[in-house]
Amino acid sequence: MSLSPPLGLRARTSATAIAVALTVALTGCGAGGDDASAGATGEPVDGGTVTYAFTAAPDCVDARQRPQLNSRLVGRQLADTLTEQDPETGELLPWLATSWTVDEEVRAFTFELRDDVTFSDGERFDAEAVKANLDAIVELGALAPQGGSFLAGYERTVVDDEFTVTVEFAEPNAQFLQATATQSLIQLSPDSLGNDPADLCRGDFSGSGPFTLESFRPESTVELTRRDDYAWASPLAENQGAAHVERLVLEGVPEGSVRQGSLTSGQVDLIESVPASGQAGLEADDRFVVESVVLPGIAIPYIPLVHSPTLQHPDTRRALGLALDREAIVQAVYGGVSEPATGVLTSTNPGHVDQSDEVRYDPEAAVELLENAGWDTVGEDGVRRDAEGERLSLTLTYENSSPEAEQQHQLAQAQWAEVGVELVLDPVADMPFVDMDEYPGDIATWSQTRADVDVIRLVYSSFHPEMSMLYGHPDEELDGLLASLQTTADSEERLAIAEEAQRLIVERGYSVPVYDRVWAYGYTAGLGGFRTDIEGKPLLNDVWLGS
Amino acid sequence: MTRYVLVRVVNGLFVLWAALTASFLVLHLVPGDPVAVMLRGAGGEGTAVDPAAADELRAELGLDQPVYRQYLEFVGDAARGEFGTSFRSGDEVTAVLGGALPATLELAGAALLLTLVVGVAAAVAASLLPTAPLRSAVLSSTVVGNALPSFWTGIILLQVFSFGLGWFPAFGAGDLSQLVLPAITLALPGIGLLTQVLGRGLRAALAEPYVRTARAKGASRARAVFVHALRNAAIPAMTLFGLMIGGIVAGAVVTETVFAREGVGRLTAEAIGTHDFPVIRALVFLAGALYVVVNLAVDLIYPRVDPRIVLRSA
Repeated sequence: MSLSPPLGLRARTSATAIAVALTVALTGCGAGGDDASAGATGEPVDGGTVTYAFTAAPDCVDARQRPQLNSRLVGRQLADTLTEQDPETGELLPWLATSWTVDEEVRAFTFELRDDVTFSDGERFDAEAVKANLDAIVELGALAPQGGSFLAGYERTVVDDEFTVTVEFAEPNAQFLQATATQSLIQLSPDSLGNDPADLCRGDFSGSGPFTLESFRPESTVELTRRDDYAWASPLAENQGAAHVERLVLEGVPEGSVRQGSLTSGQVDLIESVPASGQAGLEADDRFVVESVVLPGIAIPYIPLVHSPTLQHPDTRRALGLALDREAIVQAVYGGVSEPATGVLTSTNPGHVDQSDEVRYDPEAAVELLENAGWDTVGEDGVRRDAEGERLSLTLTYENSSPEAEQQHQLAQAQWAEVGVELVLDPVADMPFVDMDEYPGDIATWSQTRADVDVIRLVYSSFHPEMSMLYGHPDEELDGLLASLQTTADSEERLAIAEEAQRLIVERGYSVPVYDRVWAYGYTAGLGGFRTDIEGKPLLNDVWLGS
Repeated sequence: MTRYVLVRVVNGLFVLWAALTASFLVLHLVPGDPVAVMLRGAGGEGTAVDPAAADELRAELGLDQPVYRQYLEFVGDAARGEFGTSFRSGDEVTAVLGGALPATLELAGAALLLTLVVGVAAAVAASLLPTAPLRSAVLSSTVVGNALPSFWTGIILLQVFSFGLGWFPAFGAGDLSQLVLPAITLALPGIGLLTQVLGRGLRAALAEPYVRTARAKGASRARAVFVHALRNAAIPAMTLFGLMIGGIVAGAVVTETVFAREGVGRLTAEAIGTHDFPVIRALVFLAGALYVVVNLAVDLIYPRVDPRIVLRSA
């Protein structure tokens, strides 16, 4: 049973588990960034307690040690980050760092810091604190998986003066800038950094966030109290001072219908992951507001494995995408809550390019491509064969994790059968630890979420043995583009490179994007100021309770 | 008597050993790798796994040892009362269990009390009713509780009494008001069973010659039930109730999930899902010990209820 939605730096099949929600940005019916919220309007009211229902309460509130969304959501309220990301554009905004420069080799990042920030234990936030925090991530090693990967090649942090630091890497590392906006690199009081990692998980630390931890029962309840002298809120927040609400109570309520019932009966004010079955009813009720956010990672794909002997011809791989009816899958499996993919990246990733002219449902074109690739006879069993009589049969090996994933695969099986492709489903309890070039079967599923184009480099290059789909079978042109993402600091230029890479990925059949994952919040119309960051996590210092 | 208890304790130890062995076997037969879960997160999600790190962790946890060595340690440590640390949280297993126990004890205590009171009351009430159709109507109605899945009952109770009427909170633990609905959910199946067994026992006892004699001597139906029949009908019901106490953890798994309560039930489900061997071992040990102790207690009470029963060790 998967209770907590993780960031999803590798989720083999779980890709498809709806629950996985990390990096999310607002779309659809509602507020994002500085937009007005759909809830209560008027002058914000101070005071009161907001109760929030998680699908699963975190087991650890040190967001550096957990990729899961619930830990990061709590981490966001307890601690701040050097930068923030505009949920609309993905643009990097100043927060604890007021400005930054990158050297020409994209190896050294110099940050100017705010000089008025304190941690809740009274310690001051300064250049020494940033250095101590980054060193601590490296020290944590495997316990800080996300942060560790963002800091790959970390050499050192130099304290230039009291409020200026330079972070140096051995190799160009352009993705590091966006990483400073993630909760994997939250800034904690230097006095807390030496604490035992397990104690840090239980909340034995001080941050500079708008709330402090009042109590924490792992996997059950988190209680937070407003910090009255908070005066350095995120640039996304309308409220730049202390939080409006005095207290936050965050409860784990795993059953979807119970979560929704708790909201409609007024027992909680705000819930995450509105169940698909109840979403329409909640939307129709004007006492409540539903806001949906799309995760800004890669669109959840089927990945035709390039080492599969059956999938050597690019046209075979491309045909799989054209034979897939994404709209039908989203409607039947995800209750219309998720959205059909329109490209390699989800619509809210800053690098998203609309590729719906290629990422479309066109079985006739699929048949043409298959015939072109040599699969030109159809056997009595309805499965295509090539000149040697080899059957076009593909195996999908996946971790058997969610009923939705299972349904999705069965639907894909039926759709591909229409064009003479046999899909064999091979569910396993655990995927073996193998490098990508030994990944079993012909097709993989994957999920990886990050609000930066760097996610393409991780998944679709040949660079990382355990997570890059083309590992062992490099595409020189694609690798060249993706490598230059790390050496290019200019964001316009990076987006242009990423666009070219996405085009190649679809044209050469390295990915069959299926759907964009969506996460829905529901809250009482009496709640004002609801807005989320680019990962879809609410800024709870902004919310307030109307009368 | 002392000899009887001693023999039963030795038998109990055998039961614990068998339970641990069976759970060890099941854990190793069921597919799933605790190292994968730890490195990747529950449900097969999380971060990329470095095979070298996986091997290192496997060695650290002793999972690279031959199976028989792992088995000897699994049972041996439990025998010494050493339950180690949880794979998942890294905390002492005793602390993990200690954290989950109070909420479950509260829930189980309330549910069992409810089962006992309502079950006995329904069975006795049924036997006091004047006509056979009325009696079977009461007995049949309690079967409904036994037939409904707890998951469904829990949701319906929530819909009506929490979301609809707003009498009770839907989630959490610690408050009396938070205990009512989960306790009813957990108790309902047991109430049905207990009423059935005790009701049938009472019916059989009431047909016995000694009851007829008592009635002939002028005893009221109520007196016949309470003074004469109940003791004799109680023995199978007591055995059943003992089994229910032992099985309460199984019921708590569902109830605690629906009502978002912390507790041993949810801990069990999560420990199995993540292959957290040390926690599962402690839970099996705890549940096994509970069965043994409760059954022993029930057996020791038998002679007090029915003096014809004599405890013999062989």
